[in-house]
Amino acid sequence: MQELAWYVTLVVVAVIIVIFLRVVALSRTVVEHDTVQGTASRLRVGLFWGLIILGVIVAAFSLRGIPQLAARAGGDVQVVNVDSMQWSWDIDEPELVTGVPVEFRVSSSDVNHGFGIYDPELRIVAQVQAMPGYVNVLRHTFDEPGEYQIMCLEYCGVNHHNMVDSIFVDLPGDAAADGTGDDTGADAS
Amino acid sequence: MSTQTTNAGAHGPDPVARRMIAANLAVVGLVLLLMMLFGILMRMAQGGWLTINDDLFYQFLTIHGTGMVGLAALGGVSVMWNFASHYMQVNGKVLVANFFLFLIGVVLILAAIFWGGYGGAWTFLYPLPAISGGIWSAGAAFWYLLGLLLVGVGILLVCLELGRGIITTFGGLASGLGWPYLFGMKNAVVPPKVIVATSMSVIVTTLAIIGGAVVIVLSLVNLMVPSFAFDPLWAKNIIYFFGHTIINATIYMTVTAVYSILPEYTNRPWQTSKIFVASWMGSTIMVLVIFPHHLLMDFAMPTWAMVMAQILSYTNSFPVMIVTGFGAVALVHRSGIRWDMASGLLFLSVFGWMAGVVPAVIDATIVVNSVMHNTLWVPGHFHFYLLLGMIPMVLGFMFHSTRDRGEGTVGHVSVKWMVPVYAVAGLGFVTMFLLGGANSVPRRWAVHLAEWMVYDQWAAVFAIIVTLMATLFVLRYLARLPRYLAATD
Ligand code: HEM
Ligand SMILES: [Cu+2]
Repeated sequence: MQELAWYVTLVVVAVIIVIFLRVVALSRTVVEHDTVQGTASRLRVGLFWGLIILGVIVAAFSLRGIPQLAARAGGDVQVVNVDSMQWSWDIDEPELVTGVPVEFRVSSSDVNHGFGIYDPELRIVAQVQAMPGYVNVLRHTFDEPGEYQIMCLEYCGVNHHNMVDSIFVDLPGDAAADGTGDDTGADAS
Repeated sequence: MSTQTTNAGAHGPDPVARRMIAANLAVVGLVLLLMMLFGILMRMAQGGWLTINDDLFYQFLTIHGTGMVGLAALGGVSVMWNFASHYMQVNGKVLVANFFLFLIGVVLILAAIFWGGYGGAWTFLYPLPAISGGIWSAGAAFWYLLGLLLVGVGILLVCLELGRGIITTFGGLASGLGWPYLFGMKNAVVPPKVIVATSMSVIVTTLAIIGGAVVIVLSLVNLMVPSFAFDPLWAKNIIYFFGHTIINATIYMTVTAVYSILPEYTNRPWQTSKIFVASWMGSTIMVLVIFPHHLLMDFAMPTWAMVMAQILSYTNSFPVMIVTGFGAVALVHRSGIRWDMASGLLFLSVFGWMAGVVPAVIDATIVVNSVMHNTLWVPGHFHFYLLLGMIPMVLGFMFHSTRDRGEGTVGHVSVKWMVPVYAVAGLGFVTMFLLGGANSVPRRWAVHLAEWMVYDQWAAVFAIIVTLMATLFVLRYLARLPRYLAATD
């Protein structure tokens, strides 16, 4: 997902850069304003509908996979209660298995924190806010075993960057958590 | 500029306003450089090139965020006042009141941060100001929030005066927005573009500041009487309503410079059209309702609101992309525009605003937000439209207002390299934020892992170049100010 976001941004920004550079390059070759206006309004209409169609398609696909809906699905889950406080995590079940959805029930006992799950390659796979007085439910299914780090993703004061902990994901039936997984992490949020 | 509607008595800022606008922009320029310096220090610290205490880093973060948002608001209302007062009479004394409220606010904020140790960030997310883990006292948070409130009240006064001017001259804010014209009512006035933008900015800024003031006052009470608590999710909604709206409003204010100055340079008219009015109507509403895209990872929020946040964030990009951005490009295209500092910076600003929308829209997609929220992607997006959009608008206005053609000491070459260098370095700087975000680097972390430092180090280098260019721009402005002021007194 991160790569996709990055490359789409790169390409679209590059296109905008090219357009601006071209306009600068051509700025001295003067033509009538009306001529430019005519082309511009036709292009504008095209752009308008193009963006609408693109937006509808992207929204239709992307909204189906949102984590808010996943949290409501039924089925067997591994329940993990997470409490947070300045500046540590309290995770009642840090040993988990792959393949079975994990339901993180995340809260805070002081200020806002952010429960960010990093795979062994230091890539975020899912996150949810930890807010005092609320329990936010995040479901995530781990596909790859390994040690996943929990890092704080909401500014919570001077030790915010030290609010790091780990959870261990094993293959089902594997007793010992070895925590050295080096596979690419799941990206199924 | 526009032949449409003008008020007989209005010929631009009155003498008081003229001087206050110059003073405000001088303050904006100097504060900008100082805040950029704090920004460089933060990037160097994250990159491992500089060791500073964690609490000091977060104080820098807090002053940088607050100072930049504050100067954006001050610069925004100044630029907007300058152009709006060509179409209506407004009382420049209000700018004096704003100036002093701003200064008092700044003193309180500086004292709270560097003396009181407040490091709760400019978003003062409840209940962090009161629960610092022993780092800062309730008193420090109190003075910080009070200072912020004073700055906000000052900006509010300016907006109310501009709103009053629009109501008396154009018969109401709806007419200022051009709604009667849009809906084809008889004898409808066609407001100039500047007035449409000013009407929108005044409405959204006023509402934002009222919202912000409510949470600030509640937080102040909470600091004095800790047993007085309120709902953190509600507070977060209001805080982001305030924060999102105010920082976005600054660019809607400052774009008045683009609307007014670019047609002069291109010798082409840029008239109010129905598409234009409709797009600003859309912006007015959407800017006020899309703040929940800051709460996409609060699963306690109703899901329909999150879905709406994604969709409205998409549509909110339309006015910027298709109307203002596209319009400006068409205005300049093959126009024989005269390039100098002002026109170069203003054209750059249109680019920065348009391109900055792209990473924002992508991050407002909930499935992307799941892995990007509160990473460096977020500062990547807003530095894009602030550093390469909003700030170049203000700088362009500075050059234009002092009739600085970019000649003299730096020579006619100035526009040939200073603006492009600023642009390229700025682009490099924001790219490092975005790359960091794409690689899951969290935002607001005083200390980075070794894997992440390469982005921080490149960012520091780019930031130094950007800041050097900004220093040249601001110094030129300051150097020309005395002559500019003497010319009319
Ligand atoms: C040379 C230019 C600049 C540098 C080096 C710089 C650097 C930074 C850094 C390092 C951060 C913190 C990133 C993190 O979360 O780890 C930051 C945040 C921020 N910057 Fe800048 N910045 C610059 C220009 C600007 C400008 C021009 C504006 C606005 C007009 C701005 C507004 C902000 C805001 C609002 C934040 C968020 C603060 C927070 O998270 O509480 N910056 N900047
Ligand atoms: Cu934190």
